[in-house]
Amino acid sequence: MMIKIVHEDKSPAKGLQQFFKQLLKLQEIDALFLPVRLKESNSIMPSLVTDPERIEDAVPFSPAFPINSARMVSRLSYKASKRKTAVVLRPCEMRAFIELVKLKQGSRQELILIGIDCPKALTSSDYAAYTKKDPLEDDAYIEAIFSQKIETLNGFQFSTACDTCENPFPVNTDISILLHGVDLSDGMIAESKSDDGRLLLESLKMPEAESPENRDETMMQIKEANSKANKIMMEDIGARTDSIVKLNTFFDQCINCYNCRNMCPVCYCKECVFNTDVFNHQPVQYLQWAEKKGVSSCPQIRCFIILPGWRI
Amino acid sequence: MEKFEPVIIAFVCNWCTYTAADLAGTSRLSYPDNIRLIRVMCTGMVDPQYVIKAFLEGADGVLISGCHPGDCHYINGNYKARRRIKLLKEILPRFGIEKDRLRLTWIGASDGIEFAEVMTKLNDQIIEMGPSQTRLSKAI
Repeated sequence: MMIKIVHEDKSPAKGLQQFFKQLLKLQEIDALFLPVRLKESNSIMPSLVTDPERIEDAVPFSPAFPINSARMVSRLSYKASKRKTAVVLRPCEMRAFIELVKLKQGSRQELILIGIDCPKALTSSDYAAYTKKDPLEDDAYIEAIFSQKIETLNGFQFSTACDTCENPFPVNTDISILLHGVDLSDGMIAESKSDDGRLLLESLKMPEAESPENRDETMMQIKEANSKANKIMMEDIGARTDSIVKLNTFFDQCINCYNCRNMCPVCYCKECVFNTDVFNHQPVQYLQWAEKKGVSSCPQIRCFIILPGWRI
Repeated sequence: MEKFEPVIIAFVCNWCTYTAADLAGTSRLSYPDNIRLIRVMCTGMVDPQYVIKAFLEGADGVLISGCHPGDCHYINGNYKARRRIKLLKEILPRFGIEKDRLRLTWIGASDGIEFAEVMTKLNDQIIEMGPSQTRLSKAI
Protein backbone atom coordinates (compact mmCIF):
# COMPACT_ATOMS: atom_id res chain seq x y z
CA MET A 1 0.00 0.00 0.00
CA MET A 2 1.19 3.50 -0.82
CA ILE A 3 0.06 6.74 0.76
CA LYS A 4 0.83 10.32 -0.11
CA ILE A 5 2.58 12.61 2.37
CA VAL A 6 1.48 16.15 1.62
CA HIS A 7 1.63 19.47 3.41
CA GLU A 8 -0.61 22.42 2.78
CA ASP A 9 2.43 24.75 2.38
CA LYS A 10 3.98 22.25 -0.06
CA SER A 11 6.89 21.97 2.34
CA PRO A 12 8.41 18.47 2.21
CA ALA A 13 10.13 18.94 5.59
CA LYS A 14 6.94 19.97 7.34
CA GLY A 15 4.99 17.28 5.50
CA LEU A 16 7.34 14.64 6.88
CA GLN A 17 7.17 16.10 10.37
CA GLN A 18 3.39 15.97 10.18
CA PHE A 19 3.54 12.37 8.99
CA PHE A 20 5.80 11.34 11.86
CA LYS A 21 3.71 13.29 14.33
CA GLN A 22 0.59 11.42 13.28
CA LEU A 23 2.49 8.16 13.44
CA LEU A 24 3.63 8.89 17.00
CA LYS A 25 0.11 9.81 18.04
CA LEU A 26 -1.06 6.32 17.07
CA GLN A 27 -1.67 4.03 20.01
CA GLU A 28 0.49 1.34 18.45
CA ILE A 29 3.67 3.47 18.54
CA ASP A 30 5.25 4.42 21.86
CA ALA A 31 8.36 6.19 20.61
CA LEU A 32 10.00 7.35 17.42
CA PHE A 33 13.74 7.21 16.79
CA LEU A 34 14.92 9.69 14.18
CA PRO A 35 17.40 12.54 13.61
CA VAL A 36 16.44 15.65 15.58
CA ARG A 37 18.00 19.12 15.51
CA LEU A 38 19.26 19.96 18.96
CA LYS A 39 17.87 23.06 20.63
CA GLU A 40 19.85 26.27 20.01
CA SER A 41 22.29 24.40 17.84
CA ASN A 42 22.72 23.30 14.26
CA SER A 43 23.78 19.82 15.29
CA ILE A 44 21.50 16.98 14.34
CA MET A 45 21.57 13.81 16.42
CA PRO A 46 19.55 10.61 16.32
CA SER A 47 17.05 10.94 19.16
CA LEU A 48 14.22 9.03 20.73
CA VAL A 49 11.03 11.11 20.69
CA THR A 50 7.96 10.32 22.76
CA ASP A 51 6.25 13.73 22.77
CA PRO A 52 4.49 14.33 19.41
CA GLU A 53 4.95 18.09 19.84
CA ARG A 54 8.73 17.68 19.77
CA ILE A 55 8.58 16.22 16.28
CA GLU A 56 8.84 19.75 14.92
CA ASP A 57 12.59 19.54 15.51
CA ALA A 58 12.91 16.30 13.54
CA VAL A 59 15.06 16.47 10.42
CA PRO A 60 15.08 13.00 8.81
CA PHE A 61 16.49 14.35 5.53
CA SER A 62 19.63 16.36 6.08
CA PRO A 63 23.32 16.15 5.17
CA ALA A 64 24.15 15.47 8.86
CA PHE A 65 25.29 11.94 9.61
CA PRO A 66 27.12 12.04 12.94
CA ILE A 67 26.83 8.32 13.64
CA ASN A 68 25.52 5.19 12.02
CA SER A 69 22.44 4.64 14.18
CA ALA A 70 22.36 0.87 13.72
CA ARG A 71 24.34 0.39 16.90
CA MET A 72 21.96 2.63 18.85
CA VAL A 73 18.96 0.75 17.49
CA SER A 74 20.69 -2.47 18.50
CA ARG A 75 20.90 -1.11 22.04
CA LEU A 76 17.24 -0.16 21.91
CA SER A 77 16.12 -3.58 20.81
CA TYR A 78 18.46 -6.30 22.05
CA LYS A 79 16.12 -7.03 24.96
CA ALA A 80 12.35 -6.76 25.17
CA SER A 81 11.00 -3.42 26.38
CA LYS A 82 7.30 -4.20 25.90
CA ARG A 83 7.04 -0.99 23.89
CA LYS A 84 6.80 -0.43 20.18
CA THR A 85 9.34 1.94 18.68
CA ALA A 86 9.41 3.18 15.10
CA VAL A 87 12.94 3.85 13.88
CA VAL A 88 13.81 6.00 10.88
CA LEU A 89 17.04 4.85 9.28
CA ARG A 90 19.09 5.61 6.21
CA PRO A 91 19.60 2.62 3.87
CA CYS A 92 23.16 1.98 5.13
CA GLU A 93 21.99 2.14 8.74
CA MET A 94 19.18 -0.25 7.92
CA ARG A 95 21.53 -2.77 6.32
CA ALA A 96 23.92 -2.54 9.27
CA PHE A 97 21.08 -3.08 11.72
CA ILE A 98 19.83 -6.14 9.83
CA GLU A 99 23.37 -7.57 10.06
CA LEU A 100 23.32 -6.98 13.82
CA VAL A 101 19.93 -8.71 14.03
CA LYS A 102 21.45 -11.72 12.26
CA LEU A 103 24.16 -11.73 14.94
CA LYS A 104 21.52 -11.58 17.66
CA GLN A 105 22.58 -8.09 18.72
CA GLY A 106 19.21 -6.55 17.98
CA SER A 107 15.66 -7.59 17.29
CA ARG A 108 12.94 -6.46 14.91
CA GLN A 109 10.26 -7.80 17.26
CA GLU A 110 9.31 -4.50 18.87
CA LEU A 111 10.42 -2.20 16.08
CA ILE A 112 8.79 -0.67 13.07
CA LEU A 113 11.59 -0.08 10.58
CA ILE A 114 11.06 3.02 8.47
CA GLY A 115 13.55 3.34 5.63
CA ILE A 116 14.16 6.50 3.69
CA ASP A 117 15.71 7.27 0.33
CA CYS A 118 19.22 8.34 1.20
CA PRO A 119 19.64 12.13 1.44
CA LYS A 120 23.46 11.76 1.25
CA ALA A 121 25.75 13.23 3.88
CA LEU A 122 28.75 15.43 4.46
CA THR A 123 31.55 14.28 6.71
CA SER A 124 31.05 15.46 10.30
CA SER A 125 33.75 18.14 10.06
CA ASP A 126 32.40 19.38 6.71
CA TYR A 127 28.88 19.47 8.10
CA ALA A 128 30.00 21.60 11.04
CA ALA A 129 31.69 24.03 8.61
CA TYR A 130 28.69 23.95 6.24
CA THR A 131 26.22 24.96 8.97
CA LYS A 132 28.29 28.09 9.61
CA LYS A 133 28.34 29.06 5.94
CA ASP A 134 24.81 29.88 4.86
CA PRO A 135 23.33 26.35 4.88
CA LEU A 136 20.30 25.46 2.78
CA GLU A 137 16.88 25.41 4.40
CA ASP A 138 15.55 21.90 5.04
CA ASP A 139 13.07 22.13 2.15
CA ALA A 140 15.64 23.52 -0.25
CA TYR A 141 18.03 20.71 0.65
CA ILE A 142 15.42 18.00 0.07
CA GLU A 143 14.45 19.50 -3.28
CA ALA A 144 18.06 19.92 -4.36
CA ILE A 145 19.22 16.46 -3.37
CA PHE A 146 16.30 14.54 -4.80
CA SER A 147 16.27 16.43 -8.06
CA GLN A 148 19.91 15.30 -8.48
CA LYS A 149 20.85 18.83 -9.43
CA ILE A 150 23.73 19.27 -7.03
CA GLU A 151 27.15 17.65 -7.11
CA THR A 152 28.46 19.59 -4.11
CA LEU A 153 26.80 21.41 -1.25
CA ASN A 154 27.88 25.05 -1.01
CA GLY A 155 31.31 23.91 -2.16
CA PHE A 156 31.46 20.94 0.23
CA GLN A 157 31.94 17.53 -1.35
CA PHE A 158 29.57 14.81 -0.19
CA SER A 159 31.12 11.95 1.73
CA THR A 160 32.97 9.51 -0.55
CA ALA A 161 30.99 6.66 0.98
CA CYS A 162 27.77 8.34 -0.20
CA ASP A 163 29.05 9.17 -3.66
CA THR A 164 30.12 5.56 -4.16
CA CYS A 165 27.15 3.86 -2.48
CA GLU A 166 25.53 1.30 -4.74
CA ASN A 167 22.33 0.92 -2.71
CA PRO A 168 21.05 4.27 -1.49
CA PHE A 169 17.46 2.99 -1.43
CA PRO A 170 15.51 1.52 1.48
CA VAL A 171 15.45 -2.28 1.88
CA ASN A 172 14.21 -4.68 4.58
CA THR A 173 11.78 -2.10 5.92
CA ASP A 174 8.24 -2.08 7.25
CA ILE A 175 7.61 1.33 5.71
CA SER A 176 9.70 3.03 3.02
CA ILE A 177 9.59 6.75 2.38
CA LEU A 178 10.22 7.41 -1.29
CA LEU A 179 11.51 10.66 -2.72
CA HIS A 180 13.66 9.61 -5.69
CA GLY A 181 11.71 9.85 -8.92
CA VAL A 182 8.75 11.37 -7.10
CA ASP A 183 7.27 14.76 -7.98
CA LEU A 184 7.83 16.48 -4.62
CA SER A 185 5.47 19.33 -5.42
CA ASP A 186 2.74 16.70 -5.42
CA GLY A 187 3.87 15.18 -2.10
CA MET A 188 6.10 12.32 -1.01
CA ILE A 189 5.19 8.65 -0.85
CA ALA A 190 5.17 6.21 2.06
CA GLU A 191 5.01 2.57 1.00
CA SER A 192 4.25 -0.33 3.30
CA LYS A 193 6.55 -3.31 2.93
CA SER A 194 5.12 -5.58 5.61
CA ASP A 195 1.78 -6.32 7.23
CA ASP A 196 2.72 -4.25 10.29
CA GLY A 197 3.63 -1.34 8.03
CA ARG A 198 0.41 -1.66 6.06
CA LEU A 199 -1.74 -1.64 9.22
CA LEU A 200 0.01 1.49 10.46
CA LEU A 201 -0.37 3.33 7.17
CA GLU A 202 -4.03 2.34 7.05
CA SER A 203 -4.60 3.79 10.52
CA LEU A 204 -3.13 7.12 9.42
CA LYS A 205 -6.04 7.58 7.04
CA MET A 206 -4.02 9.53 4.50
CA PRO A 207 -4.79 9.65 0.75
CA GLU A 208 -3.54 6.68 -1.25
CA ALA A 209 -0.86 7.19 -3.86
CA GLU A 210 0.14 5.45 -7.05
CA SER A 211 3.54 4.03 -7.80
CA PRO A 212 5.81 6.84 -9.09
CA GLU A 213 6.51 6.40 -12.80
CA ASN A 214 10.08 7.64 -12.97
CA ARG A 215 11.37 5.95 -9.86
CA ASP A 216 12.87 2.82 -11.42
CA GLU A 217 14.65 4.85 -14.07
CA THR A 218 16.01 7.34 -11.50
CA MET A 219 17.19 4.52 -9.26
CA MET A 220 18.96 2.87 -12.17
CA GLN A 221 20.75 6.11 -13.09
CA ILE A 222 21.91 6.70 -9.52
CA LYS A 223 23.06 3.09 -9.17
CA GLU A 224 25.02 3.23 -12.41
CA ALA A 225 26.75 6.50 -11.57
CA ASN A 226 27.61 5.39 -8.03
CA SER A 227 28.78 1.94 -9.15
CA LYS A 228 31.13 3.59 -11.61
CA ALA A 229 32.51 5.86 -8.88
CA ASN A 230 32.76 2.86 -6.56
CA LYS A 231 34.78 0.87 -9.09
CA ILE A 232 37.21 3.75 -9.56
CA MET A 233 37.57 4.15 -5.80
CA MET A 234 38.20 0.43 -5.24
CA GLU A 235 40.80 0.35 -8.00
CA ASP A 236 42.52 3.36 -6.49
CA ILE A 237 42.56 1.88 -2.98
CA GLY A 238 43.65 -1.49 -4.37
CA ALA A 239 46.60 0.15 -6.13
CA ARG A 240 47.56 2.04 -2.97
CA THR A 241 47.50 -1.04 -0.73
CA ASP A 242 48.67 -3.89 -2.92
CA SER A 243 51.74 -4.63 -0.84
CA ILE A 244 52.47 -4.66 2.85
CA VAL A 245 54.79 -1.69 2.45
CA LYS A 246 52.08 0.32 0.69
CA LEU A 247 49.51 -0.81 3.24
CA ASN A 248 51.72 0.47 6.02
CA THR A 249 52.14 3.76 4.21
CA PHE A 250 48.36 3.95 3.78
CA PHE A 251 47.96 3.64 7.54
CA ASP A 252 50.99 5.60 8.63
CA GLN A 253 48.82 8.16 10.40
CA CYS A 254 47.07 5.47 12.45
CA ILE A 255 47.56 5.84 16.20
CA ASN A 256 45.58 2.74 17.23
CA CYS A 257 42.75 4.79 18.69
CA TYR A 258 40.31 2.14 17.40
CA ASN A 259 37.73 4.77 16.61
CA CYS A 260 37.03 2.99 13.31
CA ARG A 261 36.16 -0.09 15.34
CA ASN A 262 33.88 1.93 17.60
CA MET A 263 32.15 3.76 14.77
CA CYS A 264 31.60 0.90 12.35
CA PRO A 265 28.32 -0.80 13.27
CA VAL A 266 29.33 -4.15 11.86
CA CYS A 267 32.53 -4.40 13.89
CA TYR A 268 30.34 -6.50 16.06
CA CYS A 269 32.36 -8.62 18.53
CA LYS A 270 31.12 -8.20 22.07
CA GLU A 271 34.62 -8.68 23.38
CA CYS A 272 37.29 -7.22 21.15
CA VAL A 273 40.60 -9.01 20.86
CA PHE A 274 42.35 -5.64 20.94
CA ASN A 275 41.08 -5.12 24.49
CA THR A 276 42.33 -8.46 25.69
CA ASP A 277 45.73 -9.58 26.83
CA VAL A 278 46.64 -10.81 23.35
CA PHE A 279 48.36 -7.51 22.65
CA ASN A 280 49.17 -6.63 26.24
CA HIS A 281 52.78 -7.66 25.89
CA GLN A 282 55.33 -7.81 28.68
CA PRO A 283 57.67 -4.80 28.83
CA VAL A 284 60.61 -7.05 28.06
CA GLN A 285 58.88 -8.14 24.85
CA TYR A 286 58.91 -4.58 23.47
CA LEU A 287 62.57 -4.22 24.35
CA GLN A 288 63.37 -7.52 22.68
CA TRP A 289 61.66 -6.41 19.48
CA ALA A 290 63.57 -3.15 19.55
CA GLU A 291 66.86 -4.98 20.16
CA LYS A 292 66.14 -7.43 17.37
CA LYS A 293 65.27 -4.82 14.76
CA GLY A 294 67.15 -1.77 15.97
CA VAL A 295 63.92 0.21 15.99
CA SER A 296 60.36 -0.80 16.79
CA SER A 297 57.52 1.65 16.35
CA CYS A 298 55.02 2.05 19.19
CA PRO A 299 52.14 1.48 18.66
CA GLN A 300 53.56 -1.42 16.82
CA ILE A 301 51.04 -2.85 14.41
CA ARG A 302 48.74 -0.40 12.75
CA CYS A 303 47.37 -2.16 9.71
CA PHE A 304 45.85 -5.00 11.72
CA ILE A 305 42.67 -3.35 12.67
CA ILE A 306 41.42 -2.84 9.15
CA LEU A 307 41.84 -6.39 7.98
CA PRO A 308 38.31 -7.64 8.37
CA GLY A 309 36.71 -10.94 9.23
CA TRP A 310 38.43 -12.11 12.38
CA ARG A 311 35.42 -13.72 13.91
CA ILE A 312 34.13 -16.21 11.42
CA MET B 1 75.05 -16.41 -3.06
CA GLU B 2 73.95 -17.27 0.45
CA LYS B 3 71.37 -20.03 0.59
CA PHE B 4 67.91 -18.78 1.48
CA GLU B 5 66.80 -20.17 4.83
CA PRO B 6 63.08 -19.49 5.17
CA VAL B 7 61.30 -18.91 8.44
CA ILE B 8 58.15 -21.00 8.58
CA ILE B 9 55.75 -20.75 11.49
CA ALA B 10 53.57 -23.80 12.06
CA PHE B 11 50.55 -23.68 14.35
CA VAL B 12 49.94 -27.31 15.20
CA CYS B 13 47.10 -28.97 17.05
CA ASN B 14 48.04 -30.56 20.37
CA TRP B 15 45.98 -33.68 19.70
CA CYS B 16 47.01 -34.53 16.15
CA THR B 17 49.84 -32.79 14.38
CA TYR B 18 51.89 -32.05 17.47
CA THR B 19 51.62 -35.69 18.46
CA ALA B 20 52.60 -36.61 14.90
CA ALA B 21 55.65 -34.35 15.26
CA ASP B 22 56.47 -36.18 18.49
CA LEU B 23 56.10 -39.48 16.70
CA ALA B 24 58.35 -38.28 13.89
CA GLY B 25 60.93 -37.37 16.53
CA THR B 26 60.77 -40.68 18.36
CA SER B 27 60.89 -42.47 15.00
CA ARG B 28 64.12 -40.57 14.23
CA LEU B 29 62.63 -38.96 11.14
CA SER B 30 64.17 -35.64 10.28
CA TYR B 31 62.42 -32.54 8.96
CA PRO B 32 63.74 -29.04 8.19
CA ASP B 33 64.73 -27.18 11.32
CA ASN B 34 63.61 -23.79 10.04
CA ILE B 35 60.00 -24.76 10.69
CA ARG B 36 59.09 -23.39 14.09
CA LEU B 37 56.25 -25.25 15.74
CA ILE B 38 53.79 -23.46 17.95
CA ARG B 39 51.58 -25.90 19.80
CA VAL B 40 47.95 -24.83 20.14
CA MET B 41 45.18 -26.79 21.81
CA CYS B 42 43.13 -26.74 18.59
CA THR B 43 43.47 -25.15 15.15
CA GLY B 44 40.13 -23.52 15.96
CA MET B 45 41.98 -21.17 18.30
CA VAL B 46 44.33 -19.89 15.61
CA ASP B 47 43.09 -16.37 15.16
CA PRO B 48 43.68 -14.95 11.67
CA GLN B 49 45.64 -12.25 13.45
CA TYR B 50 48.26 -14.77 14.53
CA VAL B 51 48.80 -15.63 10.88
CA ILE B 52 48.90 -12.02 9.74
CA LYS B 53 51.22 -11.07 12.57
CA ALA B 54 53.57 -13.88 11.63
CA PHE B 55 53.72 -12.59 8.05
CA LEU B 56 54.13 -8.98 9.15
CA GLU B 57 56.94 -10.01 11.45
CA GLY B 58 58.77 -11.48 8.50
CA ALA B 59 57.72 -15.13 8.31
CA ASP B 60 58.13 -16.57 4.81
CA GLY B 61 55.42 -19.17 5.29
CA VAL B 62 52.75 -20.15 7.78
CA LEU B 63 51.37 -23.62 8.27
CA ILE B 64 48.28 -24.52 10.22
CA SER B 65 47.87 -28.19 10.79
CA GLY B 66 45.16 -30.00 12.70
CA CYS B 67 43.02 -33.08 12.91
CA HIS B 68 41.27 -34.59 9.94
CA PRO B 69 37.72 -33.33 9.39
CA GLY B 70 35.44 -35.13 11.82
CA ASP B 71 38.28 -35.99 14.21
CA CYS B 72 38.50 -32.67 16.07
CA HIS B 73 38.93 -33.10 19.81
CA TYR B 74 36.63 -30.11 20.24
CA ILE B 75 34.13 -31.30 17.63
CA ASN B 76 34.40 -28.50 15.06
CA GLY B 77 37.55 -26.45 15.72
CA ASN B 78 39.23 -27.59 12.51
CA TYR B 79 36.19 -26.53 10.48
CA LYS B 80 36.51 -23.06 11.97
CA ALA B 81 40.18 -23.05 11.01
CA ARG B 82 39.30 -24.11 7.49
CA ARG B 83 36.88 -21.20 7.10
CA ARG B 84 39.41 -18.73 8.43
CA ILE B 85 42.15 -19.96 6.13
CA LYS B 86 39.85 -19.68 3.13
CA LEU B 87 39.18 -16.08 4.05
CA LEU B 88 42.84 -15.33 4.70
CA LYS B 89 43.73 -16.73 1.30
CA GLU B 90 41.33 -14.16 -0.16
CA ILE B 91 42.66 -11.28 1.88
CA LEU B 92 46.42 -11.83 1.88
CA PRO B 93 47.00 -11.56 -1.90
CA ARG B 94 45.34 -8.11 -1.86
CA PHE B 95 48.23 -6.92 0.25
CA GLY B 96 50.88 -8.61 -1.80
CA ILE B 97 51.34 -11.78 0.26
CA GLU B 98 51.09 -14.82 -2.04
CA LYS B 99 48.38 -17.17 -0.89
CA ASP B 100 50.63 -20.20 -1.31
CA ARG B 101 52.69 -18.98 1.62
CA LEU B 102 49.81 -20.01 3.84
CA ARG B 103 49.04 -23.69 4.10
CA LEU B 104 46.43 -25.77 5.92
CA THR B 105 46.94 -29.50 6.34
CA TRP B 106 45.35 -32.31 8.30
CA ILE B 107 47.89 -34.63 9.91
CA GLY B 108 46.63 -37.29 12.33
CA ALA B 109 48.45 -38.32 15.51
CA SER B 110 49.74 -41.53 13.94
CA ASP B 111 51.03 -39.86 10.76
CA GLY B 112 54.63 -39.20 11.83
CA ILE B 113 55.98 -40.07 8.38
CA GLU B 114 53.45 -37.83 6.67
CA PHE B 115 54.37 -35.02 9.06
CA ALA B 116 58.03 -35.19 8.09
CA GLU B 117 57.14 -35.35 4.38
CA VAL B 118 54.73 -32.40 4.53
CA MET B 119 57.27 -30.26 6.39
CA THR B 120 60.04 -31.08 3.91
CA LYS B 121 57.79 -30.38 0.94
CA LEU B 122 56.53 -27.12 2.42
CA ASN B 123 60.06 -25.97 3.14
CA ASP B 124 61.08 -26.73 -0.47
CA GLN B 125 58.09 -24.81 -1.80
CA ILE B 126 58.85 -21.74 0.29
CA ILE B 127 62.52 -21.84 -0.73
CA GLU B 128 61.37 -21.89 -4.35
CA MET B 129 59.10 -18.89 -3.75
CA GLY B 130 61.90 -16.91 -2.18
CA PRO B 131 61.83 -14.57 0.82
CA SER B 132 58.59 -12.74 1.58
CA GLN B 133 58.40 -9.03 0.88
CA THR B 134 57.72 -8.28 4.55
CA ARG B 135 61.03 -9.83 5.51
CA LEU B 136 62.80 -7.86 2.80
CA SER B 137 61.15 -4.56 3.62
CA LYS B 138 60.99 -4.96 7.39
CA ALA B 139 57.36 -3.92 7.24
CA ILE B 140 56.95 -3.36 10.95
